[in-house]
Amino acid sequence: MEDLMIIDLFFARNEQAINETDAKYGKLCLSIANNILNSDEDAEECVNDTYLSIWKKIPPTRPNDFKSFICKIVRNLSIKKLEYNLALKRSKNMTVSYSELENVLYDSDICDETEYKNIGKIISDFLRQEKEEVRNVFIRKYFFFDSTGDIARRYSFTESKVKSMLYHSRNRLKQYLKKEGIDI
Amino acid sequence: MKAPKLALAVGYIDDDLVSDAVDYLPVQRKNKIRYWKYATVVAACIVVALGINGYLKKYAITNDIHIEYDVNEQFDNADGSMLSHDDVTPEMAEKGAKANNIHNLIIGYNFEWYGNCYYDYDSDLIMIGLTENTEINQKKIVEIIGDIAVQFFECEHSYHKLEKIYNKLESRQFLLMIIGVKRYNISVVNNYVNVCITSEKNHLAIYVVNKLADEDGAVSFKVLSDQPAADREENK
Repeated sequence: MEDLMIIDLFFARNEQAINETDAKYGKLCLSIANNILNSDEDAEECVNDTYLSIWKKIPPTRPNDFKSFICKIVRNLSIKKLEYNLALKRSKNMTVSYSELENVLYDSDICDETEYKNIGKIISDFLRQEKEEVRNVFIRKYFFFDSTGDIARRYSFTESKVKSMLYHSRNRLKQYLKKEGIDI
Repeated sequence: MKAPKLALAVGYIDDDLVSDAVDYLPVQRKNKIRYWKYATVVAACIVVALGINGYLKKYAITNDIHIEYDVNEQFDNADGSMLSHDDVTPEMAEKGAKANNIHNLIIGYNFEWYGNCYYDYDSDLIMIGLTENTEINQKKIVEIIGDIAVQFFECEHSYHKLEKIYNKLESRQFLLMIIGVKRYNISVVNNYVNVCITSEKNHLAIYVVNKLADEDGAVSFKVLSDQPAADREENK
């Protein structure tokens, strides 16, 4: 079913909207949540929370890009869940990705949503300057938290090539953020 | 532990970037790599094929391979008759049959030096070829055939050897068929193995057959052609 039709179902408060969303994006949501939480049970819970969150947000929100909208919700919920779980257990994949990013932008203090949006905009600008494959590898790693092995398989690259691409794009991002006046 | 600022900020990148990353598959690049892989393999195969063809061509030249054209697609008869049925008189036919009988009789003795036996229409003689044309050998033949007038001469290849080559070809007939050998037989009159190939440029068939025949000139290649010799020369 087309995204617009699914959104219409949400607006009509038709529960079929959840089923259609699950049929179309369930696997994608589950993989994002699993990458972050490293637990099938937690991931499934997070995906269900995502559907509930979408149900609450639509209406009034009418997302322009439904796929991205869902991805962002499941990602945020998974990160929140991870932070909640971290006191008890650790997700190996996620903590590795975290530590790599910490070298780029030091976690000095917690900032508000406006600041995150601002940095997100600068990162978007930076990514648009990158080559398409480099950009997508970066997003697969730091947005979807795919492992380098998964990225390599997905794009038919070698793992070392993926690592090298990520290393160089992190360095370039660091320079770009510095140039844009972001505190590093 | 809190997520780093940047990990959270990445969650705010533009929607289209996220969607593109979900859908993106570097198909073109993959195809490009595949294309170059295939192109390299094909190029390598062509180079190898050209190299082999060059080698085989050179082989045919350096080994002075004899190729004949057979316009009528007819082989010499095993008894050596090159004439059409209309030209053969009953006497000639009788002598031809006699020569054939003598040949069959002698090959039963399996002499290493026996070459061929045929009726020569021009000289009206039964000819017997021996690779070692000595008095002793001639005597042995006369003892076998009795009081029949024959003419001995020295020939190049023994029938025993030609038969051996023929048997080698026979045991590999499927391979030979694949590489373009149409048929083969022993030409008693000409004292060699006739091998009929599809084209004079079929260097592979020439090479394989010649190797099987131990490269000692006992094979003559024939190319079946619909064109008269004059036309062929013109085309060349």
